[in-house]
Amino acid sequence: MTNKRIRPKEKDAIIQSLKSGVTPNIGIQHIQVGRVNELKALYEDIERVSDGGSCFRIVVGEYGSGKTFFLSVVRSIALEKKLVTVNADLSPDRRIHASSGQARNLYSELMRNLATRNKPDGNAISSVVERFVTVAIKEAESKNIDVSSVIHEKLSSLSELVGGYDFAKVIESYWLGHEQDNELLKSNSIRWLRAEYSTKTDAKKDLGVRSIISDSSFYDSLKLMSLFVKQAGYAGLLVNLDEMVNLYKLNSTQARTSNYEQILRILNDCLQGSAEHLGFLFGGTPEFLLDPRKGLYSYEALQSRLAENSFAKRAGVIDYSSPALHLASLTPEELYILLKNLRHVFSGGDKDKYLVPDEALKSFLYHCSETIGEAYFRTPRSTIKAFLDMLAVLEQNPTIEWSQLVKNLTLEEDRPSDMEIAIINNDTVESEGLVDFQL
Amino acid sequence: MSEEYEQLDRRVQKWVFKQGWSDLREIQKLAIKPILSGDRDVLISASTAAGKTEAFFLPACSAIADVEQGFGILYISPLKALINDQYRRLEGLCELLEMPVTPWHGDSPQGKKNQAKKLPLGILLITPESLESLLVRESGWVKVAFCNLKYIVIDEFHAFIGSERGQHLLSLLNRLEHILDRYTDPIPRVALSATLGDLEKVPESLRPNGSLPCETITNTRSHSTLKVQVRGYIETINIEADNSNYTSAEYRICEDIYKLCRGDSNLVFANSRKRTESVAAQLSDFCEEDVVPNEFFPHHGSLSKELREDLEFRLQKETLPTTAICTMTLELGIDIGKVNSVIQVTAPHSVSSLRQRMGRSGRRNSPAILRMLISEDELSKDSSIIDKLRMELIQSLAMIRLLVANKWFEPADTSQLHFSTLLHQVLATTAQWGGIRADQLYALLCQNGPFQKISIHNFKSLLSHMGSMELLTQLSSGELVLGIKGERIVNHYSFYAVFKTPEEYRIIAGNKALGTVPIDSVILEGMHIIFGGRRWKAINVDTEKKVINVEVAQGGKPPSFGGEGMFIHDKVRQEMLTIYTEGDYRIEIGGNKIDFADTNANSLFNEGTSFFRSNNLTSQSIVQEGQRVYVFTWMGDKIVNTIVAILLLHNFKVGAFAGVIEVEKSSIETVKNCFKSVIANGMPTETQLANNALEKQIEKYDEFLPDDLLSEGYGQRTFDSKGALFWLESHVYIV
Repeated sequence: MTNKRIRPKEKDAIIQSLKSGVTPNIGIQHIQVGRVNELKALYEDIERVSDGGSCFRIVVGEYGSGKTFFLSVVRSIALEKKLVTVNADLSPDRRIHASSGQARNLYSELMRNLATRNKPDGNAISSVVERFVTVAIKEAESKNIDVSSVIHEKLSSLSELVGGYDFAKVIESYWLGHEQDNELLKSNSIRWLRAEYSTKTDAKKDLGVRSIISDSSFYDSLKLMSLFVKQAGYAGLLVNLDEMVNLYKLNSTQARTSNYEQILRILNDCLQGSAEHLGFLFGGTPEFLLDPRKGLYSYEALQSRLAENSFAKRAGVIDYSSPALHLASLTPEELYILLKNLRHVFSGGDKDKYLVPDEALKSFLYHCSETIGEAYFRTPRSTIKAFLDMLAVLEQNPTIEWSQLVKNLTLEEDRPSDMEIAIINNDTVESEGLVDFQL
Repeated sequence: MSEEYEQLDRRVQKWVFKQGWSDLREIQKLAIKPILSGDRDVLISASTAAGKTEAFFLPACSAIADVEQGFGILYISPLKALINDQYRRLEGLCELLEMPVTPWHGDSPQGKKNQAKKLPLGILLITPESLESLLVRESGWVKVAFCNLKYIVIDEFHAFIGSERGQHLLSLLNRLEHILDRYTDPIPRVALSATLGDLEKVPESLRPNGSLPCETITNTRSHSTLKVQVRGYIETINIEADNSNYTSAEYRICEDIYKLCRGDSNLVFANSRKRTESVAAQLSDFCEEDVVPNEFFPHHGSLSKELREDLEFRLQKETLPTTAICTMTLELGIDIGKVNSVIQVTAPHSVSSLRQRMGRSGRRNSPAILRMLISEDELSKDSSIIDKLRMELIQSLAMIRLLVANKWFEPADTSQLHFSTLLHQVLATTAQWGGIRADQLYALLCQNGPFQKISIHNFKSLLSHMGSMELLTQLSSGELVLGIKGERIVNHYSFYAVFKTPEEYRIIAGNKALGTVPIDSVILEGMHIIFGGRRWKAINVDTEKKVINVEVAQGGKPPSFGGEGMFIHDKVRQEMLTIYTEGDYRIEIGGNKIDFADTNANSLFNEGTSFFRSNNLTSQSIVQEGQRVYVFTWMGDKIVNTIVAILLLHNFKVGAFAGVIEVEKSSIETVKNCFKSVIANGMPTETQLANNALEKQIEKYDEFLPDDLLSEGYGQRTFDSKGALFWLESHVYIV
């Protein structure tokens, strides 16, 4: 891989997003290191989904340890394997169960990010529907029967599920729009599929269906979607839900429990095999899973299902088949390879354009472990950011020695908060240790 | 009309014209320019019915007439009744402007709220508690709905100053400015207030960080009318106890109340629950005797909620004449309209509470009426020195003089730390944002907000304690989120209010319950208190069960007036001293001395002053009477409490009644020696003294505070070491 050229578009995307601390959408394969066992387990999961099964995983890792990155890697594998993927971050306005539109918001967000191998950036829902229609037309031509009867036959499996009848009807409307060149009807159908209708009256007026995708039909609609993408010729549907800690942060015990109940329902469905061609990946911090008061473990039924494998624990090994997957920290060697990969990406894949020699990487890592300690293995995000910043300085100022930069390196600590608006902070706050305050 | 008038919006002018006003009033003219400019805070202070509301809304509505999205004016009022009232008054004006007005509180119609939810526009009328609930639960909407906010107006601002609720309000306004990102471009605050005595300090309590200048507008000619009377009653020492009921002072007081109040709506403040009940019972007996419908009802904290709400509802409706006999429960926070008159039985707690109570009376175009009915015991040879001085009467007179002649009332106690309110705000802010860092909380609430007295050390210890109480938990990323218990508190409907009425405690001697007292006075271990006409020594307090255990203490006949209640300010005691030394209580207005006491009160007054003179109390501050030593500080309760606490530390048998310190079985010399040693060895700090107090949980969230902060907050609220030291130094060495 190290000799492979890297396209400028990919390079920019990778560098830009890593610098701002987020996971790049494309080009992930160029920088991925480590976590081999975990990836292997997830690879098997994806194969199971495309074989008609289901999977359920909660990926647990510390803040900044690369959960989102890991989910993205799995997502790109899934796309390669011809799955359709949807992904979204939870937030106060987006959750799995709600009564005033937050679950519908999450569903909309998922559908906006729907991606296929040809459209890995998302927004692929209309092309999936389009593909379904073209497949149906082709089939009708080859068998010499009516297109609508092919569509009916394909959708009949959907109609048996909750809300399936209206779902099928909306797809049919799309096909009608396709036939009659009615762009409005087509876009209305897509709007319905993206849960952008908020009242039943509008939906009835535009599409003649009695229901809409609402808070209460979040999971049922995903199940329908998984069957539908299968009918459209894809291998299945992978749902990635990240930032699950937002459920932990919910202020109302009741709201939280309802969300956990929904997770339990999904877990039961997936592990008992009643879901088909459907996979769920959740990303969350350890407290989201383990906290006995507010986390998933506070819900008795989930705790017993998600508990660690006690045999594996006693034997000192990790059971990669359990539904809760704890991400291991990167080893120093893996971090070293990661930095090498980054340097490679930065140079555009040209070995001659490397900005720093191998020993710079070593001293960079050494410096990090000296100043921060072992924490930086657990949270590679800030390390990556600092390294890329250093490369950027060197690129623009070729006269500066790398050793100088490494010596004066300070790692900025990541301080997450939901409060977006900055407030003026006096210096005294920092000096008195309020910043790293621990309860 | 005047040139100021021309600056108003056309449609507003039209409204003024339609009202048939010949011209704007003085304050209304004065207010137009500063409010239209929108670059400063404005304090409008004028008496009731002087047109304050219009003074603000005429120019403000002109300024926001063309705002097309979001609320332009946020009106905050302490009372729901006031919101409903303002809504009715603004309707006409806003109809002309085609500007919606939305009353928003717990009992306002849901339809209006939903409309405003969909299309926030115009004027929002709200209580601080409802605003808190919006911030916590719908901060996203708040951000959109207030994006064009031009003014925040606070009505009855004097009711907020210095209280927990005022602190809460300031914190809310600060958080609102923060969420709207208006720190660099603050939203002008306008305070409407009744005439205040000390206007210079008000801007500071309107905007503690002073990021906008404040302009004060008052009307030069104040013409609010006020009727005050003090009536005296003598409780005779009756040997034949059986028919004492018909001659007792309380019976006569009830007779007078019945005569004065029947047929209209009134409030009668009787400070204790027991007296409230007995007065109300007596009054309804009178109604029964005369075969007329009963219109006298008690109202206090121990009554069931239904009974209290029935009465509040009856007062709100204002159709049936109703007189409520109440404790301080009806003083603040409960919504009732204005009443005809206010009657105060026994001396009031403080001038500001008196003011507050008086503000309940005086409907539009009629004067506020206040009557004070004070009963004192008939003197006998073993009467206590406090009774002989007629201190209850003199205290009442002093308070009326301060209120009426000096327009003074207790300034906000800015030394208070408000830990309970801070804890509430930490919870509310965390709930609002979901996850927040400790340094952000501190910067928001303490550095930019109103809790500027809180040190980082104290803040950390508060957070740690909240963590151990499961009010907060911390994620590994460092963010603080609500803990399991914090969640329960925040989700409870009672969370949004920061204030509560003081709890009543049962007093128990051995295994016999004596009665209840509100725990708003200081109770130190070993201190003498008076209850049910006897002296008791406080042993301990059981917070859980709300019980004070006492045992009998020796001593002479206790005074009938214990100076019950809250903290009497230095200035009240000084005014009392002035009245004693001058021998005159009348108020001078325009060269005339106005007498506001009846003959009974007058003769009681003369008894008191002549005793004062004959004992030469002007020049002596420590006197001996029999085996007892009395210390007259003529200073406020903070200093008195401090000296009592010190004497207790030195194992004296001490009690303080009406600001007079009574030391049992001692001599002037020993007391003085003790004071001298304190001066020589240094005073204990307020916090050290507070460690000795039996019960320190007073405010709503005090129960969740760590001990050290509780003591610190309690010490600041109760004691004044510096003031006490100063008094000792200036009085002990004089003969």
